[in-house]
Amino acid sequence: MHTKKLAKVLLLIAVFTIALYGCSGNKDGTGSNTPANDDRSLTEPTEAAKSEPTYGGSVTVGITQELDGLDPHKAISAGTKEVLFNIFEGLVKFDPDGNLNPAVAESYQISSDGMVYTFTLREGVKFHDGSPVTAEDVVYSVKRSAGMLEPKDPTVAVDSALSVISDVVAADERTIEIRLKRVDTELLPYLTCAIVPKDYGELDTKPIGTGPFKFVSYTPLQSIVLEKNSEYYIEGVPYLDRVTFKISSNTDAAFMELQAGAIDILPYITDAQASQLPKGYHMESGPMNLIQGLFINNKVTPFDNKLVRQALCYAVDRQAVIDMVAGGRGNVIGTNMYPGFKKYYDESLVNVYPYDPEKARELLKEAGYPDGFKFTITVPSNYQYHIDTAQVIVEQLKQVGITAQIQLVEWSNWRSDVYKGRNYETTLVGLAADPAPRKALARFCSTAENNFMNYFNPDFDAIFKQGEAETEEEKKIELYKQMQAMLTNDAVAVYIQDPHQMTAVSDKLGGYTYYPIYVQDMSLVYYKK
Amino acid sequence: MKYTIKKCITLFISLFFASILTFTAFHIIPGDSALSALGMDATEEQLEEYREIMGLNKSFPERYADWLKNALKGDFGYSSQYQMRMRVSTLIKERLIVTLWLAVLSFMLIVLVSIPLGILSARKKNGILDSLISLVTQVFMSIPSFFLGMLITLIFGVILKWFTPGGYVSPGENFGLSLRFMVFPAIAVAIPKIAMMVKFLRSSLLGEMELDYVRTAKSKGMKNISILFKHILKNALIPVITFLAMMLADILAGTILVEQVFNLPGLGRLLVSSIANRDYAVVQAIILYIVSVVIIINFLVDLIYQWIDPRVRRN
Repeated sequence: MHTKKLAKVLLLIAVFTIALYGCSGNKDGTGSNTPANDDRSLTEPTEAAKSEPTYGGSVTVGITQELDGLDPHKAISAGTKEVLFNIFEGLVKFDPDGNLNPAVAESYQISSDGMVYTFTLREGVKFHDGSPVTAEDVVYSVKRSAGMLEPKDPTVAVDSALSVISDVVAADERTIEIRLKRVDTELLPYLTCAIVPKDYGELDTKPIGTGPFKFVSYTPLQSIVLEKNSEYYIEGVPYLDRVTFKISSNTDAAFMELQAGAIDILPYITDAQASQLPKGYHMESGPMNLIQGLFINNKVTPFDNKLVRQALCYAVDRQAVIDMVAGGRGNVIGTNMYPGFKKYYDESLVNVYPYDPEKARELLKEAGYPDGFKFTITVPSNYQYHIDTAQVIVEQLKQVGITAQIQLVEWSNWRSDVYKGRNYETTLVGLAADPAPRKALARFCSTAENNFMNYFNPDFDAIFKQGEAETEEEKKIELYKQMQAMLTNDAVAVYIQDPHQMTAVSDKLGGYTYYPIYVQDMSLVYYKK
Repeated sequence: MKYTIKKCITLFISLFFASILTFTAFHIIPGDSALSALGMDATEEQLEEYREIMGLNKSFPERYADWLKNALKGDFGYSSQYQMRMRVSTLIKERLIVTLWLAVLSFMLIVLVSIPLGILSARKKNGILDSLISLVTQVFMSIPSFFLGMLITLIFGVILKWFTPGGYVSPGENFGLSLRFMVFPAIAVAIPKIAMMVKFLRSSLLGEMELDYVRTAKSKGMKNISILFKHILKNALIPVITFLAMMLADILAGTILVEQVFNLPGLGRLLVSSIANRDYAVVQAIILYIVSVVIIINFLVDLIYQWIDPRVRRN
């Protein structure tokens, strides 16, 4: 009797275990990736490496953001675009110096009135499935990116910069004409939009492009695997046979994997991580082309007073911030322009507000705040770098009697409350670079939807309009610089720096290259001999 | 039978309230899934169009009714954090395998390690071995799983290189390799629970040992060891089963942190990223899963109780 009961109990435990064990045996073939360190056998690079490229091998790159899509016209996150850069190309393509080179197109001409762009297709460019790229594909792709296809697909992220296009037509088999509604000298950078096969239905799951790497597989939250496109039109590129972008939940987890040797390249490491790199890795760094600043809501008191904003600018020691937060890796900036656009960027504005706490106190007194005031700095909680920066600034502001408080918000809240809702006092973030300089300034127009700093200046609006329509580069640069000076003199924000991006790279690898835009170009990476 | 029906009704009511609660929570917290899907610089027009198509414009009760109607049909809709119109059910199914696999492994570890240790500890009451086990369990009980996870990754992954941190292979693909990657997270989950279990089993056994029937058995001349296995253990195991079941529910629903630490592509990571992206559909479905697991396991425990101890039914 009693033994029976005991048997029941034990049986139950066994059944429990077995039943659950059975559940896990589902063989759906999900999670179809393998750890990449198994297939690295192709090359055995030696320590005494000369920087001579070899072909073959595979590399694992750590990324800390999940991809939001594989369709290049739908993906919006910067973390996704920098991966897709390896699969897709546009008519033109950026090079590491920020110049635009013909890619799918072999050459282009702009009509003398600036209203028609004529592209000639490169001979022999093929999609990854082997089919040749036709003028029809280009027309389809550009129209799709510009939201000109009917019926409209609301999930396609239309870049407003392309709205200037009135029509795209295939003049003949190899010639495409892009006609504009009005003259726009900054359209070309946006024609880097991906060329995809016409009416191809599986872009979401099996993307096909013309880039140096072909898509192999993608497993959500795990990885995306690419392989070499051996028919790439540039001779000798890419070097690697296989690239795996491994998705980690956060930088710490990714760094742990790097320490264990499971990741070869890890971009966006922190200063602390850079100093803890394990043997066999080195750090490479380059400017991010990001505008990091303490952005101010120009409409709320006391910041509606220009003197107060200027006082803030004088009270922040920007070089000290860079030294404290990033070990000195970063360039001080003075205005709202990406330093990567060297022609347009006005470097002299850096010196408008030198660190001068005395002056800051004077300005505060003049503005009617002799004893300082209190305010909050809203910082998205997922960006440690910005949080660190804010902490240093809080300390610096104490010197002039201003008490700042850091308020951490979730990124999603930041987007809706701060950026869209403009419900904040100040916020510390970085504004990422766009392909063309105009976007950096467009957000300050009175009517701009993304004018989250609430800057209203009719003079600025007028010059912006003039600059937008200007076709002569010299004059355009002049106008753009005028606008930058206006922003600096009005102290719309405390511009801090263009931080440097630090990347951990395995010593076996060479060719890792920085771009003035967010990309991880794997086509130039190789194993050293 | 009546009992079972009553429990089933409770299950559905609980699920219903849980789903309303999550839905409301999402309604209250700030953040906009349209903004997540279309990007910060999307125009108001584009956002509006997206909301219209995704049904985000409707009133709160309407949206809930829509969701409920489809959910009852087994259709949880599409995830909004991915642009590729990924079905929530597919997304969750793939992640669920990881979480279940982890749960099963750690549960097996808990059962296999804690029951012998607990018995040993109770038999050698106040001996050196017992004190040692008590000490060790006391320490491990107070270390949270995610911290243990970090230690394990550091020691076995980074220093000893016994496994690749962040590696994961599905068991269907390569069972051995999958086991190797999964055993360490399972250990991290299991250790604090094993410690608790050992303590619990020990006190339960010791409690039983004081009872009259043990004295009677002893006076009959039974050996201590056969009293333990024939009489004490099965009585002592009844509360232990509840405890084990609670742990199982806890593991199935709560490996979120450990998944983050070991970078496992399980439900926990999906939940975190879905909340961050305001992906209502996915969060809603995962919460339902967690609630169901907890309630169903409790329900099963109730049934098991009746089977083992008919007194429960009579009461």
